[in-house]
Amino acid sequence: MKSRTLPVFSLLVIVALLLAACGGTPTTTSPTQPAAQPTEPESESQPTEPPAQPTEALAASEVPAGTEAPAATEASATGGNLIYVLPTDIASLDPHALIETVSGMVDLQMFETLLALLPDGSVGPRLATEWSVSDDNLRWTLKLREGVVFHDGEAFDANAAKANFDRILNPDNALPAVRVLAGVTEVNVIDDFTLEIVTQAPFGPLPFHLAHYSLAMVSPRALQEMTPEELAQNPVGTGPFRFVSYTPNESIVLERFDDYWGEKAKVDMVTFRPIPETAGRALLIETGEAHIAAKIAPQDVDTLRGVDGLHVDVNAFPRVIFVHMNESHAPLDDVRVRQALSWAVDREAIANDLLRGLAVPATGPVGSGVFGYSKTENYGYDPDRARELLAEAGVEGLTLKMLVPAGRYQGGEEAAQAVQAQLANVGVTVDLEVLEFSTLLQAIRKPAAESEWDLLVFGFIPATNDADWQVYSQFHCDSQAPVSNNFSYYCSEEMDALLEQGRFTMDQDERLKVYKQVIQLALDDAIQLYLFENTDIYAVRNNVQGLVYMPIDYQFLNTVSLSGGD
Amino acid sequence: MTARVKASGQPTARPGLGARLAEATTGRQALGRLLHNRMALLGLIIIVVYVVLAAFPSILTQHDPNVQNLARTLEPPSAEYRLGTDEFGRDVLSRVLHGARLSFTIAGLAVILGGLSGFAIGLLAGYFGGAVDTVLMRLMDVLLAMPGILLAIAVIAALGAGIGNVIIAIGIYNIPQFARLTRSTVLGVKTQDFVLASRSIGSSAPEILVRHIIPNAWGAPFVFAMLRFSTAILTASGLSFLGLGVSPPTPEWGAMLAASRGYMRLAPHLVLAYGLAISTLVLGFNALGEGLRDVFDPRTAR
Amino acid sequence: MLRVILSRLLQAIPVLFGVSLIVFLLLRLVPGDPVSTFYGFDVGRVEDLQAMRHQLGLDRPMLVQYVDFLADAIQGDMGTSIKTRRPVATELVRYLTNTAQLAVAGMIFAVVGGILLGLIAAARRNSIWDNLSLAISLAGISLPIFWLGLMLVWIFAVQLSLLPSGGRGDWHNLILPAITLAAPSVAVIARVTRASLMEVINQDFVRTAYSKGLSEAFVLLRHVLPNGLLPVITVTGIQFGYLLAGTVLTETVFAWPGLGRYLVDAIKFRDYPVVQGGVLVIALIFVTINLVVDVLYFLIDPRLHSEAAK
Repeated sequence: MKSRTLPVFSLLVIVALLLAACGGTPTTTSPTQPAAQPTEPESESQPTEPPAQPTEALAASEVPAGTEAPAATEASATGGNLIYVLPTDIASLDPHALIETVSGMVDLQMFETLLALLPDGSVGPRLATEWSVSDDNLRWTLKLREGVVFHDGEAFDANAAKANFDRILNPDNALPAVRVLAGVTEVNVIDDFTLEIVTQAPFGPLPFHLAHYSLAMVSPRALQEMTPEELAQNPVGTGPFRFVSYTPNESIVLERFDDYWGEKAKVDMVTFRPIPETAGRALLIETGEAHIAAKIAPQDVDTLRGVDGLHVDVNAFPRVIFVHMNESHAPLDDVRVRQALSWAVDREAIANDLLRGLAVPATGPVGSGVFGYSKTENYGYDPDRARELLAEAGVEGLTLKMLVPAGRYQGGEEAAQAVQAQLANVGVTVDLEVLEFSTLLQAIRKPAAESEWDLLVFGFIPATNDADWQVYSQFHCDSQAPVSNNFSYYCSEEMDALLEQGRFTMDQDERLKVYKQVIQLALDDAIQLYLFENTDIYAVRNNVQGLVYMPIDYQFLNTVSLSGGD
Repeated sequence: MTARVKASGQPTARPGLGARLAEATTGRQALGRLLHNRMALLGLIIIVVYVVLAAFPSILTQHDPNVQNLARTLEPPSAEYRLGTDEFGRDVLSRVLHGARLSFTIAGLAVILGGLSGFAIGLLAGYFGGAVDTVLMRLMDVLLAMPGILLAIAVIAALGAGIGNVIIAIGIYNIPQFARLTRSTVLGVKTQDFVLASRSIGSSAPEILVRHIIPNAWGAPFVFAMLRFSTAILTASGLSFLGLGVSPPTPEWGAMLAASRGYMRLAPHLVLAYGLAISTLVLGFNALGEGLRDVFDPRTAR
Repeated sequence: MLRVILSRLLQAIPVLFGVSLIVFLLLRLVPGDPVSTFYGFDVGRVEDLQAMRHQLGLDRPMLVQYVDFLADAIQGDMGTSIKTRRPVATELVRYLTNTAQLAVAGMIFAVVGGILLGLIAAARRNSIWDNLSLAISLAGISLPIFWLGLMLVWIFAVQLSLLPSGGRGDWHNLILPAITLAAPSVAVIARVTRASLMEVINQDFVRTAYSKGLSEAFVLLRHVLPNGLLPVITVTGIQFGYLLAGTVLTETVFAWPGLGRYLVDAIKFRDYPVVQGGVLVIALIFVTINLVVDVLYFLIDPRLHSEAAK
C-alpha cells in the first residue's frame, strides 16, 4: 500500500554506516605492508654473524637462522623510533620507588646502577669501574667512573652516589629499594671517585645487589629539588636515553642522550607502549606497528612464527614455578608424603602438552640463568611409586587445599589444575582456590599455627639474579612466614648452615659449590614440588639489530638499531 | 516515575506495566495466551531444552567434565568429542552442559535472593511510607548509585570468589530494582477499597500485609524476576570472565570463555561453543520475557 | 519545577555520603592491603612494611582516615595513588576522559542504530522488517558483550585485518569497542522507539497527514518521529549511565585504558585512594544522570506536574 522504500532505505543507511566504520581503513593505513617489506630481502641475503653481543649467551634462545642482521649496516642504521611493547604499564619512573621488572626495564634505559648484570648472569662494572672488599669482609670499596654526567648536567661522583644511598637508607622515606640494601649500615665518601659501603655482617651477594635496578643513580639535584611525587614523573639519570614524556597506559617516550659516557644509543627515540592484552601485543608486532613485543603468550607463538618479517625468541626465564607444601600440617611433615606428591606429577606433560613446549621442566628450586644454579635430578613421573610411598606413610583419602594466585604466573593456574587432576590419580583430593594476589598474600603471611592451606602454587625469580635472594628467604628457619618467604615452614640445621655459608663466603666460585649442596638438599627433603621454568617470549621484527637479552627480563636498548628505514 | 527501572540494560518495564501484569496473571488463561505467542514459545522451548540437558548431560555425552587428557588437547569437534576438547583435553560438550546447570543455579538463587529481599523492602517502604520509606529508599538509591557490575566486583573482593559469593553479589545488585517495583505496586494496592475497609475495621498491619497487600502485589515482581534471569546469567558470566567468579575446574561459562580466549587462533571452537551456549540461553529468557510483555501489555502487542 | 530539581539535589547528598561510607568500609573489610601487595613476595623486612603503612597513614584509626578522606574529597583532593604515587584526581580525569570518549561513540551507534531499527519496525508493523528488527534487538540484549567483542576482534582484526584489536589510538581503535558497547543499548532504544512511535502512528493527526496524500517518509520524519521521540530521549539518558557502567567489560576485552578497567585493577591491588575516589566520581555521574532523567520525565509526563503540586 504505502511506499516500500523507507525500510530499505533505513537498512541501507545502517549498512552504509557500518561499512564506513569498518571498511574505511584499508586504503588509508594498511599496517602490514610498510614495516615488513624493506627488511625482508636484506636480512635473507646476508646471513652473517650477529653483531657485538651475541644472543647465544642465553640458555634456550631460539633465533631462527638468517634473521640476524649484518653488522655492516650499522653505519647507515642509526636513527629511527624504536617501538617496544610492554606487558603492563609502568609503576613509577623513580627507580628507588619500585621493585617491579617492567618499570625496571624502562628505568634502566635512563638510569644506571654502580654495577650491572652481564648477559651471562654474572656482574660487571657500570658506573663503578672496580670493587674490592676489606679483609674482615665488611667494607666494600668502589672506584667510580669519571666523566659521567646526569641528564640535567650534574656531574656524577661519590657524593652523588652517597646522596642516592642515603635517600634509600633513610627509614622516613619508606622506599622499597631499601630491601635490596638490607644489611648495609653506612655509605661513606672516601674521595671524589671512591665510595665505601659498610655491611653489618659479611655479605657475599652484595655485587649482585648493587646491580639491581632499584639502586640506580638519580641526579643529586633532582633528589634535592623535587618531591617524591615529582621524582616519580621526572626521571633524571645518567643512562643512554633521556626522558621525553609519559602518558599513563599509553606510552613512555625517550630520546637519545648525546652526552652519554658509554656506547651511545643508535636509535633517536624509544617509545614504550604498554598493552596488557596478550592478543593485542601479538597483533601489534604482526602488523608491524611495533618492533619488539615482550611477554608474548604461548598460544600466540605458533601464529607469529608463521608471519614474515619477524622472529620469535623463546628465552629461558629463571623463574621456577613450584608448589609449597605446608610442613606444619600433617601428613605433609612426613618427607615420604612430600616425595610421593613429587613423584605423582607429570612435569613433561605439563610443560610440553599443556604449556605447548613453552615451559621447561624444572630441575630444582633455582632457575637455570641464576647465579648459583646447577643441574640436578628432579623427581620423575611415577604414580605407582607415589602410591607406594603414600601407603608406606599410612596415608589414605588425603584431601589438601591448594591456593594459586590469579593471573600472576604464566601457566600457573593451568598447571595448578593439571596438578589437581594428577594428584587425584594417586588418590589425593585437591580443593583448588584461585585468589587475587593481594588476598593470597594476606592468607599466607601468617605464622605456621594460623596457616589454613596445604599447597601453594608459587613462582620466584631472584630479583638480584643471585640464588641467595631466593633460597635464603625460602629455606632458612628464620625466614619462616610471616617474616619472609619460607611458606613451607621448613627448618633444618644442615640447610641453615649451608645458607649462611653461602652468604658469608666472598669467593664467588666457592659460593657456587655451596648452592649446589643447597639445591640437592632441597630436592632430597622434597621441600617444595618443582614444576617448571617459565620462558620469556619476545617477538622481534627482523629489522631490529643488536638486541641482547639479559637473564632477568630486560635489555639495554642503546645497542639496538633499526635497518631498512623503518 | 515510581516504577522506573534504572540503568539495567534490560528493556525497561514502563510505568503502570506492573499493575497490568499483576491483573493478568490469572493462571491458566495467561498461560494459554503465552503459548500462543510465538516469541514466548520459542523462549520456553529453549529453556526447557537447556533444563533437560543440564539435568541429564548423559543424553549427549558420557565424558566427565573434569577428566583431563593432556595428550589430546585443543582437538576440534569429532565423533568422540562432539564439541572438541579444551586446553586440558577435557570434553567441551560435557563442560558446556555442566556449565548450564551452574548458570541455572547461580541465576536462580541470585534472583530469588535479590527478589525476596527487594520485595520485603519494597513492601515495608510502600506500606508504611514516611520515615521508613525515606530511609529504605535512600539506601536503595545508594546501591543504585554504583554501577551494578562494580558493586558486584566490590562485594566479591570483600567476600572472596566462589559460587556462593557470586550469588550474593548478584543478589545484592538486584535488590533495589525489586524494591522500587514492589513499592510502586504496593502504593497502588494500598489505596484500594478493600484495604481501606480492612483497616477501618481495625486489622493490624501484619494482618493487612499478609491478607491483602502481598496477594495483590506479588505478581509484578514475580514476572519481573523472570526478566531478571537473563541479566543474572550475563552478570555471573561477566564476573567470571573478569576472573572474579568460581574456582577452577568448575565449568562456569564465563570463566571458560575467558580461559579459551587465549586459544582463539589455535582452537576457535572453544570460544564459539561457550559464547553460543551463553547467548542461546539468555536469548531464551529474553524471548520469553518479550513474549510476556506482548501478552500482558496489549498496547504494544504484535 | 525548580523545587523538584532542588529537592532531588538535596537527596543526592546523603546518597553520595552513603556511597563513600560503604566503599570505605568495604575496602577495609576486604582481606589484603596495598602495602603488602606493593611489596609482593620479594624479600622484605616487616619494619619496611610498617614504615610504608605509617607513611601512607594506614596505621591511623579507621574513623580518622575516613574523616580525612571526606574532608579532602570535598575540597577536590582525592589523595595519591599507592601504586603509582600520582595524584588520584589527575588520574581519574584522564581515565574518565577515555571512558567518556568510548561511551559517547557507543551512544552515537546506539541512538542511530536504535532509532532506525525502531522506526522501521513501527512503520512496518508485523512485517518481515519488524521481525528482523525484533531479532536484532533480541540478539543485542542476549549476546554477552565480552563475547560479542571477542567475535568482532576475531572477524575484523584477526581474519580481515581491517581494524586494530585493542588499545587506544585514532578513531579506528574506537569502532569495535563502541559497537560492542552499544549493542545492548541499540536493542533497548529500538524497542522503546517502536512502542512509542506506534502510539503516535495510530493517532488522528497522522491519519490526517496520510489522507492529505503526503509521502510516508515525510509523514514519518516530520510528524511521527518528533512526537514519539521524548520517551526515546529519556531511555537514552538511562542508557548513557548504563553505557558508562558497561565499559568495564568492554575495556577489558579491548584493552581500553578507561575508568572501569582502572578501577578493577585498583580493587585488585587494594589501592584505597583510587577506589574511593573513583567510585565516588562514578556515583556522582550516576546521580547526575538520574537527576537529568527525572527532570526529563517531569517535562514529558504532565501527570507528574499535578503530583508535584500536591
